[in-house]
Amino acid sequence: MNAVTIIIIGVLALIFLFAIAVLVTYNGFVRSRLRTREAWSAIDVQLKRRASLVPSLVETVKGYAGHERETLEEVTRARGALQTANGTAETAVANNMLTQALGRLFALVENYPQLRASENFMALQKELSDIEEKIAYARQFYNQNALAYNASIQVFPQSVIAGIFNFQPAEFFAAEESREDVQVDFSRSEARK
Amino acid sequence: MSAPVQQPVLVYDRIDENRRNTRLILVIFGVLIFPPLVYVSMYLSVWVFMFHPAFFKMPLAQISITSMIALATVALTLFVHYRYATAFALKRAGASPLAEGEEEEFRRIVENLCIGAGLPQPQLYLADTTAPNAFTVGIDPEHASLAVTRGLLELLERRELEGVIAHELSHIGNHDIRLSTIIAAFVALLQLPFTFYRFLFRISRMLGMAVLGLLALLVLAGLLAGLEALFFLSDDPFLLSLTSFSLFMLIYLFFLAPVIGVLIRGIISQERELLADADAFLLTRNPQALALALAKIAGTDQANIKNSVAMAHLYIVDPLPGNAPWWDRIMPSHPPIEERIGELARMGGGIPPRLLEEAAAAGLGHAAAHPVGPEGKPAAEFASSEEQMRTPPAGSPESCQQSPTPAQEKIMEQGGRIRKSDAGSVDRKIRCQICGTDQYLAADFKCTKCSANVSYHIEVDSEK
Repeated sequence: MNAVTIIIIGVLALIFLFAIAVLVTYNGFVRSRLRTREAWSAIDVQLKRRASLVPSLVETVKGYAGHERETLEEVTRARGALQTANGTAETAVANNMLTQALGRLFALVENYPQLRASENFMALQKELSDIEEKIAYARQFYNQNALAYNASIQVFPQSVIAGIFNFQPAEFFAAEESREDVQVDFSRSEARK
Repeated sequence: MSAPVQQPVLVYDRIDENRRNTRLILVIFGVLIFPPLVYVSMYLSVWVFMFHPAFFKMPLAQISITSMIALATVALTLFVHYRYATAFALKRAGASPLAEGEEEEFRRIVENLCIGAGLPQPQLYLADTTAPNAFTVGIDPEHASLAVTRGLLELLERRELEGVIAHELSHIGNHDIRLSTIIAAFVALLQLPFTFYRFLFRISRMLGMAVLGLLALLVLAGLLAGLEALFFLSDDPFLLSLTSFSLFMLIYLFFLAPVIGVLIRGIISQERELLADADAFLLTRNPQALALALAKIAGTDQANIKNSVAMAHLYIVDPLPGNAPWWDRIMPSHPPIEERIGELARMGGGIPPRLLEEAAAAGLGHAAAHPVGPEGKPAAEFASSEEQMRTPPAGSPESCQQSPTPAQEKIMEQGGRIRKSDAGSVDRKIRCQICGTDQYLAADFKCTKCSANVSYHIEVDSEK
């Protein structure tokens, strides 16, 4: 075996190792991206549930407070925007719009004791607030996964491979208000009880 | 052993870590089990085939047969414990499946947190006991069960319950449950001779004593054989080594192996507990709630649940009663609650000590209002315990030792001491902790005025 053969074998081995490294990294990206998509579908399920509840809520409120047209229309509009929204950022904005519209609606309902006491309304309100909490948790899980995925495709040596295979960073699902503050206050007031 | 929580850690990293841990455990326990395996094989080969004429002609064949028997025993024990761990744990804790529509809020909390952790819904179980505790069992997230006690649901506020459930779900998500099940199986295996011996003793004292005597004889024989080997060179090295090996093995099987098993369990499980606390923080973003829940549970001082020692590490707080024998407590499966609260406080940027004290007092109040029923400690044991009420551990170690809870401070100002109500308190004037009436307590420990169950009272020193 002469020197040339050794060098050729060495180079081949290096290429082989490099190919394996690329393969492993690529698979890691794919796995990470799949997890992010899976986490997104958890949000999607809850958003759909929420959107499907809105019409019956609007109907119920109409029965007691039909003249509060503007607020009701706003809620319906926000729901439509959520259903047609494309992409993470747009969906997040639409979802926040719906949250705000619903918040205004629930604030308004305070003026209608009969409506507030209606069983149908109470069930809907409970369900909606439960879904809101589920969305918050699903968002947290999604953002965690998106963060890990984005970090993995943006650090240096891997970023080259991500660039070659055109891996795009995932968008975060932004929340409009900080949930943590609300929670801390809540638990304190509960603990004092 | 501080838990790394500075940045969000994906559950997948925890799972990889646990895979490594599991492999390590398998190796360590394999090494631990090897000497008794060899011993039992040799031992069996002597006693089973002693009177067989072929014995001295081909000892190797005998040994291989008996070692297969020994191996099969080990494999069977491990398999049964691994396969039926879930059923065992649930049954021994007296947990039954949660019916549809029952405890809606608990169910909803689990649903929400599962979404946050990206986990499938575990099977839910409820144990009908006042002791506040919770545990998870299973092999993987798809086949996991989460059990809580009624006491826990009654004691905790919603956010606190969320913290506890998040801790348990983290065990599922991190695949701690598989590791826990494997460890439980090995601990049970290492304790098998010991358990068997205690079982004999429980059947009849005579039987236990007889076996003890037999073992003592064996030890004596081993000693004699050792002496003989020292002074007169024996010409049967196989039998000789077997007898001296017996001596070591007795100590190993009944003493060293169970303790080593529990030690290893403790080291791993304490780390996993702190990690689960940290992950519960990442999931709920509310370390204070979990810390308060732990303070409350510690305050009740009655989290003990009837279960086997090998499964103690599945729970949120150590389910072993305070009066468990020393060999079961040599290495606790959980870090001290004060340490866990301290870690949580560090993550959350501090927790007001006053809140922790209040939580501990709430736990004490719960314990006073719900004395441990027939499921928990037997009443006789409860009545005979004369230990003075300890200050419930509240928050950081300093506050645990130095500052008593406000409720207790008030009592001490009045010159009284909190005591567990027992037979001795009947002919002494006491003060009911619920309504504050001074009275002679009736034999059924019911307050004469508010007819609450007086399981804790204040001793009034002025009258005797």
